[in-house]
Amino acid sequence: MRLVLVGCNHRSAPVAVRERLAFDARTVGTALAAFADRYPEVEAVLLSTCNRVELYAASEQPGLVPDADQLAAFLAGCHGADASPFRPHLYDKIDRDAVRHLFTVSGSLDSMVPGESQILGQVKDAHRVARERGLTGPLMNTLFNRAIAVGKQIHSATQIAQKKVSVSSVAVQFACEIFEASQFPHKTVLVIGAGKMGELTLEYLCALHPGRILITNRSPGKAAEAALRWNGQPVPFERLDDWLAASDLVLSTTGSPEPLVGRQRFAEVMRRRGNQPVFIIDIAVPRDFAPDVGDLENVYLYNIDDLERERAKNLRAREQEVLKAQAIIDRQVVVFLKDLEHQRHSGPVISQLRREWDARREAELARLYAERPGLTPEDRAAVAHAFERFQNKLLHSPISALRSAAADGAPHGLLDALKRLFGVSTKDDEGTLAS
Amino acid sequence: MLVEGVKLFCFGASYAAALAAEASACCVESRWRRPLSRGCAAAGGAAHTHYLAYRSLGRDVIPLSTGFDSLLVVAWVLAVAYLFLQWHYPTVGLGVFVLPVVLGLIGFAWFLGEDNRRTLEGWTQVWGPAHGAVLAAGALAVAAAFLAGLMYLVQAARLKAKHLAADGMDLPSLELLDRVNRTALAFAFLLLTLGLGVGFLLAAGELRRGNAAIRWSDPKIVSAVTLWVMLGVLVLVRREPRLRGRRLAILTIVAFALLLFTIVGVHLLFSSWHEAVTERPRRTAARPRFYSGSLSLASPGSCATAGGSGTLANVADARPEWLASRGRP
Repeated sequence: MRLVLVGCNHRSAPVAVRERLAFDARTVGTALAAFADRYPEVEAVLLSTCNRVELYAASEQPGLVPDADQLAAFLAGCHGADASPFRPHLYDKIDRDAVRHLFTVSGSLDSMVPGESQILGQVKDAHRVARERGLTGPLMNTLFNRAIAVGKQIHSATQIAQKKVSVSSVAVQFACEIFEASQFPHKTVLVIGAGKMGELTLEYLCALHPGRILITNRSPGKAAEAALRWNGQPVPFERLDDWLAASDLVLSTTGSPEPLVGRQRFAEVMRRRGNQPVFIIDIAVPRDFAPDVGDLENVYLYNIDDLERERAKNLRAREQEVLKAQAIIDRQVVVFLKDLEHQRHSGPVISQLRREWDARREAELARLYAERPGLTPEDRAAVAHAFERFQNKLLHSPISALRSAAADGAPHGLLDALKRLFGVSTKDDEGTLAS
Repeated sequence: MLVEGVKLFCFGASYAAALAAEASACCVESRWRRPLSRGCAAAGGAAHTHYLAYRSLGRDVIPLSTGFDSLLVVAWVLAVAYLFLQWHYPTVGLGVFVLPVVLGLIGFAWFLGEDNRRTLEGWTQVWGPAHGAVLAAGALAVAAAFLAGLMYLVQAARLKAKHLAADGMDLPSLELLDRVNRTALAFAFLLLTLGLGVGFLLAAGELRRGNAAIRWSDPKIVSAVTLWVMLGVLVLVRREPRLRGRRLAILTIVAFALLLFTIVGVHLLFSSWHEAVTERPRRTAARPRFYSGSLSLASPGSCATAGGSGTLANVADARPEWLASRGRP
């Protein structure tokens, strides 16, 4: 058996390379059809997402599988390009390493944001598309089904997806602990200033679908510009207190050298807003809100250090979860390869053994029914069931022994003994005899 | 029979094990912690249900006919609500808040002892249990407000300290907790108003029938009315800006403390005709100083037949000896 993988991801290739190699739903089909034409006896799956393009090729006969360079040339050729400019950005993996890589991808450890769940769906889709086009066989089906199972196991057995590792996502997490998620459409977000970091955080906050976004800036032009971008409402900076009193979430990112809002001023704002809870994200440096504003009742004030501290904590926790996920992958790679070994070495023998004994059982039953025509359908069913159970019990021990031995490599001695003891003849034997 | 063997200890121990498993989250990280906790709580819930069903069906009386049963029913509702919420929101750490209250209620029930119930007669047959049921529901609403208030304080303290929740210790948002608190307070006030109203009608009826033992200054009545007034004030001022959030949560905890005092404190510290009309429970001998009879707010109807007369006329005869020896009226 041979499994070869060639591809690139966000770590190995810049976006300029990735976008030239990327496939959409239509071109994936075309590429798979071209692959089937060129390598008709090779199974293949093409996985293309915004951060990766990977082509998996496998066959029971190693000689038929194209090597990494051929696959790289095929990938580039699909886009009418030569492989050489892309080759330095492409990685290739063979057999065990390719299996491990696929499990790592489906477990979302290789994603730009480890723990994201989208990749599992993308792996599923890639496998489905290849299967529908007849490019997958026993190898790819087993491999991808196992990869999807591993991805699910990692998501359920670890907390890798729950740890937010960006300052903005931590801020959103705090917002969700203060306000009810279902109430965000009734909340007002006030953005003071228009810094880059503020926009990133606002992007995360927008995912909560706030009811209203107010944007204020010392420069009305900048406020209007940002409001246009974020579908918000520009409001004059001079009436800052009014907007503060009307807002539930405040995102402050001005470049002011002095704090804009002191405790006294905000106490008055709180009085005006009926002491309703307010969440202030002050990511400006120097800070826009005096630290003692956070001491006021129902005011939850977080500066960049507060968010960074929690982010670092999450990052450490996620590293622990990554270790757990890697342990799962290590275990599953070993199990998968053992199963594959078993499938390769003992699968045909076991199938043949079962087929032959099924035929013998059916023949014996037919003879018995012919000798005893008076048997009722219930009696016949009971006898057939008893025969089947007896056969299963008889074959259970030898098949278990074979499976166990096959996990450690080809159990030639045992296979030979089994064939002789049970009179099994496989295609290989026939081929040997013929030769 | 298995059900007959189910004692308070069985489900109390199950809930305690569930609580221990929940509380271990702060020091032990294990993937088995959560299933273990849920499993123990579910086992406790099943045993608790069997116990109440057996008491109720086996003796053909409703489970709210004594204070002992009222406490167990309130604990059962809380436990079932906890299991339901944990099923739907598995990452929320409700156990460390709900299970101590459940255990506390079971503990109070055990401490107060199992009352001997009698068959209600006359008009108290309907209004007595109704009085008990409505007040038990009111107590449940106060307990819900208390739990929401307590969680609010913990959540608010954590957010002020600028920490995210630890794994498995998530709590609902402050906004949701505040809303649950305020809604539960409104329900508690409504139910307490209904329950006390029915109680007053029952007591007035007894007075008209010449029952001299009924006193409006009875400690249980005074305490319950104080709680009712406090809940009324809280309902009125719950949207007041100065009380929003933490302060309302603290006042809710005070209201819950007053509820506990009404249920247990009055029972331990004062004599009440609510209690005098029931027979001395089995565990009284072990605690000679205090009389322990029916405990709940749900008393006039639930214990309305002292001496088997079907009225409260003979309550003076049923007054415990130690009260008489202290010269109390």
